[in-house]
Amino acid sequence: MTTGFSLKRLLFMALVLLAYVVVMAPVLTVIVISFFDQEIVSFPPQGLTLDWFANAWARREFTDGMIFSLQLAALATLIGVPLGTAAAYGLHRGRFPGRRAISGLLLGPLAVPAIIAGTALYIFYIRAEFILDRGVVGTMASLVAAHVLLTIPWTVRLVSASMEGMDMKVEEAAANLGAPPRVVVWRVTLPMLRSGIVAGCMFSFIQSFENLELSLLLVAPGKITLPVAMLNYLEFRIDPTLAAVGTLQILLIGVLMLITDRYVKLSRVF
Amino acid sequence: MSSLKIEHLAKSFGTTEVLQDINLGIAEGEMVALLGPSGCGKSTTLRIVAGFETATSGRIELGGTDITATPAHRRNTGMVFQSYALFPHMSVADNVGFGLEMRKIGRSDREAKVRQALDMVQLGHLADRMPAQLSGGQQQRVALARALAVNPDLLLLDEPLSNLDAKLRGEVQHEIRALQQRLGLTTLIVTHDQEEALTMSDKMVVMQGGRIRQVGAPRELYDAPDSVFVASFVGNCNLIEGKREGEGMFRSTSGALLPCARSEAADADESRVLALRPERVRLSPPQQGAASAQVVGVTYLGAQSEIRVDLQGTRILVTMPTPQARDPMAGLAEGDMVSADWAPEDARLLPAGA
Repeated sequence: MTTGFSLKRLLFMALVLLAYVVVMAPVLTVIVISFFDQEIVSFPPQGLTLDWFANAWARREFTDGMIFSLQLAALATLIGVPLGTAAAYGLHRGRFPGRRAISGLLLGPLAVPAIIAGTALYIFYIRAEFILDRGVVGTMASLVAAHVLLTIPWTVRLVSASMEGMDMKVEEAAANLGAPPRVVVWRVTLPMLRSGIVAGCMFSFIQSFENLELSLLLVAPGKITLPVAMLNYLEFRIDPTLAAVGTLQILLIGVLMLITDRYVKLSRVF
Repeated sequence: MSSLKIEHLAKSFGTTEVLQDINLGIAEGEMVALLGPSGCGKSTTLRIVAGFETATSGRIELGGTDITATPAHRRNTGMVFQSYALFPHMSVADNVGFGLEMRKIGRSDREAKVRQALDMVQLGHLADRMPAQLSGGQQQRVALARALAVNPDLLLLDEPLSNLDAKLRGEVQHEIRALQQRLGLTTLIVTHDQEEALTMSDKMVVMQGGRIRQVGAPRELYDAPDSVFVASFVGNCNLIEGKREGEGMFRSTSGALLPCARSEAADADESRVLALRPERVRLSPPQQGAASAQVVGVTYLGAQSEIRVDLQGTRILVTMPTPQARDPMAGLAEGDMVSADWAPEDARLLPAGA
């Protein structure tokens, strides 16, 4: 082995390490700080404590916000993923004009900055209130609808990727064996798209759960999501309570990914 | 099992006509091969019979019933796909049982039939495996068992062996053919491999450009092709351009005078193609009275040898069993002079042009 080669290899390893550090540093910092025993963060810590977790637990806005965010994310996922899956299926199998345009439109929410989408939705809901002559802004339905928008691009993208790798002949085989179209979808198509759908669920859930920008403009007073509660708290305090809440969020999403990985190997989806 | 009748079948995608006036009958228990190069319409024909595509016009009858408008899932055909198309999320047993389940056959009956179908292809011991855990050859057998388990009126095979390696392909060809004959399965197989068509079918249908070129028993098509296309597609063939000259003689464009079959149809002035199978040519030491030729190339293929000779400016390919050491033709080399002759009826005159 020449020195040139091993030097190249060393450089490569260093770059990989650097990438990991850049990606992981903020996450690790949040977790570490949540155990620091001081109100204003400084290094090295004066001591370690679990007080911030206790504080987070004691504050109603965080516990209520957590529960509300979980409900919202679950509802948005439950509605958004079937819609997104149906859209991906139609776009992939259908032959109709404007297919590309619709496909682009469905991925649109990814390209529009969330704060702009939130503003647009807010204005839209106000208009709707005038026309429908009933409350729209701040209702659970309007908030869920907004979060469904977040889930659709991810689901469409992930399920489409699954469909591309799927042998259409398998569906024909099912029909040949006597399965009517409806049965083919349930017994063959959907099970074969499982990895894409499960990944779609996970991403949809996370997208909704961590969303701040849309919710910020659309939540009703007294009924706020966890990210909004965190932002509110930040206006008055900057102690590590937020880091503690953040650590819990990271833990929750981590557990979710581990559970998902048991059923569908995530490394194979991406 | 039932007979199949295809009448005046046509199919176009937009303005492209992919099938034109296809007429074909398959008797009960008969195995028919659709043979042709890719894009000739053989797969489309099969897919229309299966119900995956709709014909633009024409009629399909299965067992005396018009099924032209019947959706695929009500046709009771069993199909084996080129990619096997097994359900990846179901075990081997569930794959084979799927068609029975769709036919609302009770669990215990179903299990017995699944076992029977798997035993038929010698895979009973793999019932609990998933498709991904099987080799290509095993997957192919599962696909066959799955198609047969439903007791179809018609078995459809879409290039079923093209993903297998050469040695396995030969074995499976014989197995499928034996099974088909034992069970009396009415079968339509699509293939681009002429050898497969020759060994497996009772009747061959050669297609080109969306049309049927010739239909006949394998022997008939091999011995008596009626076009240059069929002669060259089925087996190897020397195709020599020229004109008929007198009764039973042929003058190639390079000037060689060759004996050929008598043909009423061939006008003396019309340009024709002489079709001569390479294995029908006999080579012998130079002698009086036979056309003399010069060897221009020898290829040793084990049991067979290919010898290229130049016969007064016309190149002819000759195949023969590799000569034993004592044979005067052993050790034939480039530049040697030989005599080449053949029975005149083995040299057929065909219309010029494909």
